[in-house]
Amino acid sequence: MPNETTERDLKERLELIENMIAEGRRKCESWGWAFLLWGIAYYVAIAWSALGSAAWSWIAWPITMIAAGILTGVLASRVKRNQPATNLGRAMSAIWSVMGTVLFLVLMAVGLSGRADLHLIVAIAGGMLAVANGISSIILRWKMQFACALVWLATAVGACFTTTNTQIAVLSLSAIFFCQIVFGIYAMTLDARRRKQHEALHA
Amino acid sequence: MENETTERDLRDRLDLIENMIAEGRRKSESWGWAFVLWGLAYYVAFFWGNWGHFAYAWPVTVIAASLLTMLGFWRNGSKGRPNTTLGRAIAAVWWTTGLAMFILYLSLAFSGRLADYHLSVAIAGAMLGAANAACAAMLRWMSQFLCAIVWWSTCVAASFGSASQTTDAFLGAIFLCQIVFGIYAMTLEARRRRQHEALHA
Repeated sequence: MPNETTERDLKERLELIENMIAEGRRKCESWGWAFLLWGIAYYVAIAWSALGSAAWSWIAWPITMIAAGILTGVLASRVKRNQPATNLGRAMSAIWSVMGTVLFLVLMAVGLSGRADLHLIVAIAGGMLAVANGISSIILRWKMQFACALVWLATAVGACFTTTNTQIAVLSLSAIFFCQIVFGIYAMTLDARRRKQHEALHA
Repeated sequence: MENETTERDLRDRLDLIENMIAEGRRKSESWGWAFVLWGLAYYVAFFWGNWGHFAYAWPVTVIAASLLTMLGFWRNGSKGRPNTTLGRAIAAVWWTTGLAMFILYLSLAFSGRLADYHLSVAIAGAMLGAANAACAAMLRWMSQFLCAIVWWSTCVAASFGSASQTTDAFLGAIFLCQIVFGIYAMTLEARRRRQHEALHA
């Protein structure tokens, strides 16, 4: 009898965990717009720093990142109002907010101290974005996001071995396209499809 | 009546979250030895590389420490503790950060871009700070958040300070965030076990 109870307890616990993971993934899908927003922000900052005057080149990144951060904060507060807090949700928001803040601060510190070249900056950013995507994909058991983590890691490794600025530009622009724009649109599509199904069921 | 049920449901849910956070923190405390092990490994690699002038000091020590951690993980895992969502999240944070740091540093070293000592300490400080802060936010653990702040201060010191200041900051951060924090976690776990044994005696 106690064995049966333990087995049932374990099964219930597993079901609860599975439900939480599914809920976490649904929640992550509803954040697809943030991936897209940051992908566009990276492109704006790259174009601004490359095409603008020398005075603007070093200030383009901080301004665009702060603007994207504020925009994310405003839109996130609207999204959060409609969603109940879960453990996984807290874990996800902790990972992304910490990684984003640290990436911003470390690149600012390294850039202002004049210690980094373009290759190193892309290597650090790629490594940290690989960590954030990797953690999120392992927790949510999401293969697509794990593929994004691998792309960012490959970009970080590639940035170390590329020799020209053209190569590094192609590498980083492709990674942003796949891991931010394509992945963001994919998540948004999944979220929209799920909402439509939900509305059809409750109609 | 419906309002009461909703309130009770919410309370149950909050209780469940609180229990999971407490369970996650207990699990983290039981990994205090890993913090101490990695602190010692960093010291060994640092002094071996600097005094012994052995080029492969870091990869060799990190691989050895990883194997030891896996051995400990395997022994801990066989104790039959159930895995929780937060436990999996914390494990994901450390495994992913460790693996990414290993691959990143190896690539930077082999491509010859890791010539700047300041930069290597700054990257390590930023990434270890991020991992500690993510865990601290999930577990609501102030001591671990202090570790994150210490690692981030090391990152700033490495970016703007001299070579000797960078070394002092790095060795100090290892001592506080790995050795002291690890021993603190181990002490908490030992105390909890003693209380548990006294209750069940």
